Amino acid sequence: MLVTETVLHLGPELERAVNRMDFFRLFKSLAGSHGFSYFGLTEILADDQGINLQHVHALHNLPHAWFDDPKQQVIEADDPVFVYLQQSSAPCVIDMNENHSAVLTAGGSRSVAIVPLHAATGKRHGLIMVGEARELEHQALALLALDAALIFQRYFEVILSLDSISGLSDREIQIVRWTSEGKTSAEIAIILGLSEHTVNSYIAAVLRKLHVVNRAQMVASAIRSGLIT
Amino acid sequence: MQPSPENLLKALYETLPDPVLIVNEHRIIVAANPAAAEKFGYSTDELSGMEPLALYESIEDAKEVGAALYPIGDDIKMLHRRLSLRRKDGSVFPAELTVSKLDSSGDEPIGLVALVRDLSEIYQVQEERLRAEAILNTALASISEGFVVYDDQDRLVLCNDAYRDIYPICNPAMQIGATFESIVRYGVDRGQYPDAGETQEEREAWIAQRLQRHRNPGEPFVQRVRPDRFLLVEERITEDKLHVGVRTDVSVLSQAKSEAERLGLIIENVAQEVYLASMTREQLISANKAARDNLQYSMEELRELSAADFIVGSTEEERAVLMAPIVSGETKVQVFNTVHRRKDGSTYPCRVRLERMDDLHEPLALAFVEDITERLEIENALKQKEHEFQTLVRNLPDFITRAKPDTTLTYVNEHYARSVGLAPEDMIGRKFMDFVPETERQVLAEHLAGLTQEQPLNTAEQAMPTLSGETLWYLWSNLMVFENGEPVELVSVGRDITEVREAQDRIARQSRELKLRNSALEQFSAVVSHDLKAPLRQIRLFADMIAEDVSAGKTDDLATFSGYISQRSEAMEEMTSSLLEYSQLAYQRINPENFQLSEALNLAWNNLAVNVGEAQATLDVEGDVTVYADFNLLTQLFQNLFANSLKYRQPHSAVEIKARARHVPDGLKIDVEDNGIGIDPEQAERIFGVFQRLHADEKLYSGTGIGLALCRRIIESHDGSIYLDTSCQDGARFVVMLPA
Amino acid sequence: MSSEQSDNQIRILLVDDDPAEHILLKRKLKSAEDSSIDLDYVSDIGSAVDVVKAGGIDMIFLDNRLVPNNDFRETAPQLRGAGFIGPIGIISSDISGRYFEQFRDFGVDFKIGKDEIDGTVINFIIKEYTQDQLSETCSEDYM
Repeated sequence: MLVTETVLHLGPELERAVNRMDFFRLFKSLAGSHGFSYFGLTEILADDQGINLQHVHALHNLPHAWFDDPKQQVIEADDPVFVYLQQSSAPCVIDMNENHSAVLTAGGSRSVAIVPLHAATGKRHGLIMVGEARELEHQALALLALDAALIFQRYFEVILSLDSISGLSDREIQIVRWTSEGKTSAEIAIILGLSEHTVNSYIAAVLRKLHVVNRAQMVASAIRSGLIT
Repeated sequence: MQPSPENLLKALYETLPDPVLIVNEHRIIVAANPAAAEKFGYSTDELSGMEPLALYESIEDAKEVGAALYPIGDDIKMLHRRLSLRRKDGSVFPAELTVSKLDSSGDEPIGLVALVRDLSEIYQVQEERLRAEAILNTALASISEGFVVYDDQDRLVLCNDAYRDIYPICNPAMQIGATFESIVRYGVDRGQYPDAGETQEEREAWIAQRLQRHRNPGEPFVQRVRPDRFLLVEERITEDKLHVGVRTDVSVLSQAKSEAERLGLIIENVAQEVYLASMTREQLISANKAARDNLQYSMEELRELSAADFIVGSTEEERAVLMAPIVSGETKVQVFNTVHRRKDGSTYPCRVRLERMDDLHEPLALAFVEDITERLEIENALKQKEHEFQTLVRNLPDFITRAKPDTTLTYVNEHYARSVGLAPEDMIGRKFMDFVPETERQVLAEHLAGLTQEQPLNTAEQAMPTLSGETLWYLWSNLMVFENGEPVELVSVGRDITEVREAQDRIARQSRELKLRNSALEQFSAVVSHDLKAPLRQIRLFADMIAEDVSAGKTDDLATFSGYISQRSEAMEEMTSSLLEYSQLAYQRINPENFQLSEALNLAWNNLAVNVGEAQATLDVEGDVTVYADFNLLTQLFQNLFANSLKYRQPHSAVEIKARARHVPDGLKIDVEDNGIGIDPEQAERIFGVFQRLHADEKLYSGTGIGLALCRRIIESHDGSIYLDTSCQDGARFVVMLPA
Repeated sequence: MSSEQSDNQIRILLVDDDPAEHILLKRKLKSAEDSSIDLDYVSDIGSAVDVVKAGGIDMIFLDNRLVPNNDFRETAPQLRGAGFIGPIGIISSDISGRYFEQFRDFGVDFKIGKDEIDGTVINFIIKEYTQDQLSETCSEDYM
């Protein structure tokens, strides 16, 4: 069982988080420990785009049914939650009865905790937690924000910062090498005893590290930079 | 011809030995007398009409004189100055130029008359005088005696450098013209004269005496100007009332005198007693303070004493024997110990060095006597210490040896010799190595070879068999002594650390036990957190589902769900009681005793009587032995093994259990074998964990689930082991090992 | 995801030696939004390997401790060995063991505590592990 406070401040679970699933679990556990059933984390883009929970790095467990368009999963730019995230860098709790949010009020939730987050690269992210918790003690909110920042920092290190990391892991080099020999992800999965999903995760990570968009470019770039021969 | 004043003037002008030049208002020479012509080397004709500028050596002088005189007016007075003038041949001479106005019959000045006086000769005389004075000064400066002259008013006229050096403190006051008294007073105030006294009165008296002597010089006298500097002062008054003084440094002479005095003083005050005695009369002539003080007699009293009165350490005959060679002159020095008696009757031991002094008019004996009371005390204390040290070394439980670098023994203490079984003298000369167990020699040799000048000390633990056959452990500290880079001696100290090692072993054993306990505790807590939590979670979820279904009006699955709930609850109850049992037994301290193994086996079997009956089981015990263990725990162990066999039996066949005990090199080996369904060899280790199921088809945690874990705990607390013999094909065979 | 999955129906295989877990998971799947999940159940790894070899399984939830195996490090590779390239998630009532840190080295995609699982988690897992992470330009046709 995840016991958030010990896990985050001291425990090994934060250190052991290695994939998006692990961070999903951590954020969900954080929300749950403060009485929130749902959470959403995503990057805050341009002013008029609102909060896009379909973003490639978004994590959330908000029910699809809440959204007007479950395929898009966007909290519009005029939503008070988005407005707050645009304007403030301090965490807060908004009472949904006083501030109507098209998406979040849909599930009958009473309050939303909003924690603005900043990646080391300067990109802004927002963590929202939705649930019944009506009021959050000042101290509890501070703790929530600290925990959120700690998890987010780790999320940044493990997942988001890949764009600025140079050098590939042994596993990634293996996969690039097999790709250069014409193997498909499924074939590589069988060769290495992994899931196809994992192989694709590695490839996605390599694409981001090498700043390329497809496998051919990936192989070419890896050869050029001497990562494989 | 009646000399008219005019003629007289003219004659004077013509015959004057000093040059005269008449210069008009335009500064042109208009006339010059023959002396001028002669002095300057020009003819009078040449001079007439010349500008006087050519006659000056320096153009500056010419300009200044010109500026002072021209234009000629009433205000011009007489000009008088010394300057250099130039002859026609270019040579220059010093001259005194006197210029005055030349008035015409009217009062208007019509020119100047210049009178020139050649100063060459005067200067020459002056230079000679200066040179003579310099020679005198140099002469005065070069003599080492201080020389001084005061005039009739007692004012300083001159003094040489030596004089100033002699009175360095007075020196600033020695200004020419300063009075003798002022100079002396200056010196007295500043400490020039050590003998001048301290108080004002003393000083005044001293000054008065000095002045008196100065004014009425008599015999030369010695004056001290620094603690170690003495002067001979000689003063004299010349016919022309000049007061001449000479100072001669006589410090060396004075010192020689004072050294003799000082030596006397030293001898007088030295801590050692010094006696001077007449050899012929056997009587003391002199004794120093230390001697008088120690003997408590005054000098006068001592002179009245004979040697026998205070020398009690030796008889007269002995003294005579001692003195004989000195008296005869055969030897000059005799050293002996004796005892002196003080006036109050107390005595003190002393060492005497008697020396014959020959250079005097009567042969004297000089005796230096040292009170050796303290020295004897120290020596005795030292002897005592030495004795104590010897006793210590003899009684020290440590082994102490000294050896040559090749381990040839030069010293062994008795303790070591005793443990080897030889006398110390029989060990000396043999090699240290010979007494080291053969198995340890190689290690020791390497150990000794590793001693270097940088790292001369090393320690090593070594097992040594005693004469009685037990093995003791010694910690040897080996110190190699180096001299000039070469090993010269090996000093080794061996300490019995057998008990320490035993204590260490005990601690190690205890910490091993503690570790086992801790790991068991960890496992225990893992079980509690994991294995107990899992069924709880399920119970909660099934309860939720029941509530959910009931509220939804669904009843189909309720029986299934509640069935799971009670099943899980039962399992948990079993687990908790098992855990309790385990914790009670697992952490019990063992209480070992000697008993027959068969007693434990039979009790265990009887405890399972009900199950034994059900299974129609038989126990076959082979080889009864005495064991040293905790009876209750070992009974529990076999009970668990038997229970296991009874449980995993072959259906439809009677259970046969064989227990076989026998001694093996490592200790006691007990096999417990059954004819049951057996255990997969792959599970050989896992089965000893807490709550490990032996068979996959078992429903959760049926049975205690801790039986084998307990067996392992029990046997480990006895330092033994238990394992599954995987070579057994039919049924299961457990092997229990107990250490010897 | 894979080309076999054409009917949008997802087949998940639960491997757990406690049949109660099957009942519990079934109930949780009902609370998930995505109703297109079929749950298969086997209680031992041997059966799981057989099911996988038969094909049609998109994802496996694997109990960490399957008697007689010690933990997933002994079981997950057996599934990979059988040629399964779909996601494998380890479910366990206790995932605090240090050996969980290296789960990816054993062909496992994710780990989750049994008490963490609820409808929203299942939603996330389905979405996360069935959608292609590589953009279309990176599909293998471009190779």
